[in-house]
Amino acid sequence: MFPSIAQENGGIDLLFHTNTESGKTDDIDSDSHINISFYNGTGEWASISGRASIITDRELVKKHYSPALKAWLGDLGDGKHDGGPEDPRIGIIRVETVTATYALARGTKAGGFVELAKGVVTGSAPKVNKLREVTQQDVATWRQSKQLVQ
Amino acid sequence: MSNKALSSLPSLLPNIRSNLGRGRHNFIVAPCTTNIRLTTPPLLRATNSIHPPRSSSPQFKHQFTTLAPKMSFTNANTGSKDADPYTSKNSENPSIERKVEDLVEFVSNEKFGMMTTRDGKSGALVSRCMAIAGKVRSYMSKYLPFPHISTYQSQYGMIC
Repeated sequence: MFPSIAQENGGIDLLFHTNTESGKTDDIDSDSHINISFYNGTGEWASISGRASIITDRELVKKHYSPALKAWLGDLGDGKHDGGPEDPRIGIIRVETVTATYALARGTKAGGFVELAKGVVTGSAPKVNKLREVTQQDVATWRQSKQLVQ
Repeated sequence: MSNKALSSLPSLLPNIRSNLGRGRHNFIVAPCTTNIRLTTPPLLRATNSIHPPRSSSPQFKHQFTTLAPKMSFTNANTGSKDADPYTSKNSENPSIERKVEDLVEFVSNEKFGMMTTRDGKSGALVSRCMAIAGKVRSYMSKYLPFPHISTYQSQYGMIC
């Protein structure tokens, strides 16, 4: 359970720390498709579909290094694999968003419950969420606008 | 337009097109090419065709290959009635800026997310929990005795 470390391109791309010897780097190496999903207690959710790459560049690793990583990697006691910034097991997974879908609550939780109950009685679909799709084209436009700002 | 002026145009076109690949100029240059296309005589059109179409540029490989939505599975014919009223009632499509900013805000407010990857050999989809930095810091400092956990700033200035 590694912490994500940063967001890029106006927040749309995500960076995660990883142990390069873990299963997820094998998966990404064999297929770069990736999904990052979020859910909270009020039923709001987000699903980000993208492409992942594994970065082992020491400069970037050092830039984002956190002492907290020692807890996830452990010190193997060989002077090299110590969970420090030079530990070759520390890598970064960059997730570049391709598309995203998410739903935010439209009103209060109580209001949503009333809408749902009404729907059960009347057979009319409840209007409870703001269901939004961020298309591939939206992401491209967002990236371009962020590049123009740079 | 004189023949002389026309003959000098093909040499200008590659420059215009090479700018197309650079995001910075896209918004400005794209409308110009539309005008050129409309007023281009047959000779110039032929010259144009030797250049790869914009969509095949490596930079736009992912951006312009959108798939048309197509229903591949259906088990009902509801005629003129909306077959998926929940989706149509709850869907909304605000500006791109609003959509992305709300998504980023939502993600930034969550403590944990699930990362799903695919094993290319077996095709199996595998998920695991990933903690979101910034939010998890308080969680970690509560449960783990770290004296100092830094705050990070990406090159785009987003603090996470």
